[in-house]
Amino acid sequence: MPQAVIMSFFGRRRDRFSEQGEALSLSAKFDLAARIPLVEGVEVIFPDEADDAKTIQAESVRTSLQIAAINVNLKGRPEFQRGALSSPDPMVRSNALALLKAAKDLAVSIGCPRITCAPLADGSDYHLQMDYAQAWLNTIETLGAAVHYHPEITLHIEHKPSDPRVKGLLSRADNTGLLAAECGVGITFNFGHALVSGGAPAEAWCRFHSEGIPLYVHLCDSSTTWDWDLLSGTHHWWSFVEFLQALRNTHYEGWITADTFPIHFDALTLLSANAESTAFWSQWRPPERFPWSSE
Amino acid sequence: MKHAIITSFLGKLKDRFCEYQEPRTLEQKFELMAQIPGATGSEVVHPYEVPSPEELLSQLARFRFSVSAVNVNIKLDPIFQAGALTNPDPSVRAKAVQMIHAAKDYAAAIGADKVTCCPLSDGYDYSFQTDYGKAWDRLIGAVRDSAAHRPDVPLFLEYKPSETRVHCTLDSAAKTLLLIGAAKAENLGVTLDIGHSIYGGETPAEAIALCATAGVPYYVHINDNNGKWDWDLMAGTCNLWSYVEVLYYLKRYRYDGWITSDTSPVRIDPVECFAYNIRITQRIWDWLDEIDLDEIGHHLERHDVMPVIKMLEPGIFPQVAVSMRG
Repeated sequence: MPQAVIMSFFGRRRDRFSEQGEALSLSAKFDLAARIPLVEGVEVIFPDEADDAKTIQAESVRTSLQIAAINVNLKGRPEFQRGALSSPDPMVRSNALALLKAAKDLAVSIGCPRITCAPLADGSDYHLQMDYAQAWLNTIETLGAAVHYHPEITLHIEHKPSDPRVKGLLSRADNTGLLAAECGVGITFNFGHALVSGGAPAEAWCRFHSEGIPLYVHLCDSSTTWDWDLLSGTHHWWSFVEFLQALRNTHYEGWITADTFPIHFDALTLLSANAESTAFWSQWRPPERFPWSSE
Repeated sequence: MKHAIITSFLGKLKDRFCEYQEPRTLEQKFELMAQIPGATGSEVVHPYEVPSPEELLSQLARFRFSVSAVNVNIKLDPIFQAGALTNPDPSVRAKAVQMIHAAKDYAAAIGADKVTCCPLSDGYDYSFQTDYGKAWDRLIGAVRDSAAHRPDVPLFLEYKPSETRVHCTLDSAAKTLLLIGAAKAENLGVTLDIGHSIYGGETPAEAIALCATAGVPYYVHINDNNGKWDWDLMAGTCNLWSYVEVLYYLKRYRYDGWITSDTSPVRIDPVECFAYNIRITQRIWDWLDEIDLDEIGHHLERHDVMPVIKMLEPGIFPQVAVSMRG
């Protein structure tokens, strides 16, 4: 399985209290990504990191890195802070849809088969803040329209329990599974997010595979309460190797993209370790059965 | 009851992905605070937010505000990335301790009665990242050194389960009390943040009781969350019963310190946010005056919760006529 990295993790990074790293040009980020052993692709943030095909294609050719996905940022703009896809305001939803369509246009231009989006502004902070039913229907309608635009480009939607909203609308992987059934989106399956929301990530993955939903992988580790985007396998090793086995058993041949946030570390060092660890454990073969296996 | 606000929440705020509100000078923050009914105290962040002591005193006089605490920030400087008070490098620890000393000097200059410190960069993100025993010993030593300077200005330590580290070293009320005991210094206290206590798996009222029974001074930060993360939501909006219990215990222990809002008004109006915090806290506080607290104590002695719930229920839903059917 080919590996990729999300390029924004090379630039300036921040949390609520601190900032780390230097702001870097797209070209500098491509240079750094190209230095990571085993990494063959990158995920570019649209429109923040790049919004024109020529620049991305030139960097891709120069560094021999493929574009694994165009990642659409639907959370950064102030107009989206109280929701984008699910917003009660039709104008806000329309703007969100326009961004998704523009990202698909870009994907067509550079020959990338997918865009991915984590609609993190869609959710709530307080009880009695949002109309859950209407928000869900709005989301289906907005995403349905995006799916039908350039249908040859798959729109993958990423689940996440929270951040920056206290409760994300697509808090669990199964919420995106429902969306897939309702409007035909694919899923960006984030292993760390799935851990935070509970359950075994491999179990959800296998179900989605059985249902024939287009899947794409973001990999990291986390605590069970927060998406720390840690080095893969460092906190939940058993879940990690089980998930890699599930990828293998379902014949997944797509990208494994590191969603590992090196805020306290040198990005190159951490992402290199992540790629090596992922490659190593992907090749590991478990015994035919464990003593606790039920079958 | 005295209500204060951490003034940094009245300026520009950010999370990992977004920015909120506007940047404001401390004076502009005071102007905003003056619009919040009941707010009379300010917790100011040293050294990043404050002007000279003379200038601050002038601004405080103009707005008739007091300072509830000087909050010393030992997490922002990149030198503290791998820890401040627990850092293996003695020069980094010395810098952190020196910053606490400077905050104490500042507090003394403006007549503030305490410095509060939340050592958020002290902790770890991965297994095998830190030597836990050595980190604890370093923390004890650094706290002792910090306390020794200007003992007339007590140092209150704020615990928090995580952020910016995956695991903060000082993560619970009990551990903070252990630290205070190990440091063997008289002039230490606990800054008890209700939200930190909730998402750390504590019962906040029990944490207050632990401090009170240990005879350790405590200072209260209010907010709320969903039990998983320090969202700094408005007080009581997630865990109302828990907040009523907190205020009951504060009343029982005759707490006369500041109730300081450590609440983050992202995506909501800051004046409305803090006005609500103060209003709901004061309403519960005043309502508890109408309750027979001794009777609550009597039932607590017997683990008899139903009579307590029956005592409090009409206060929470006072106007509802209950229709009994079936």
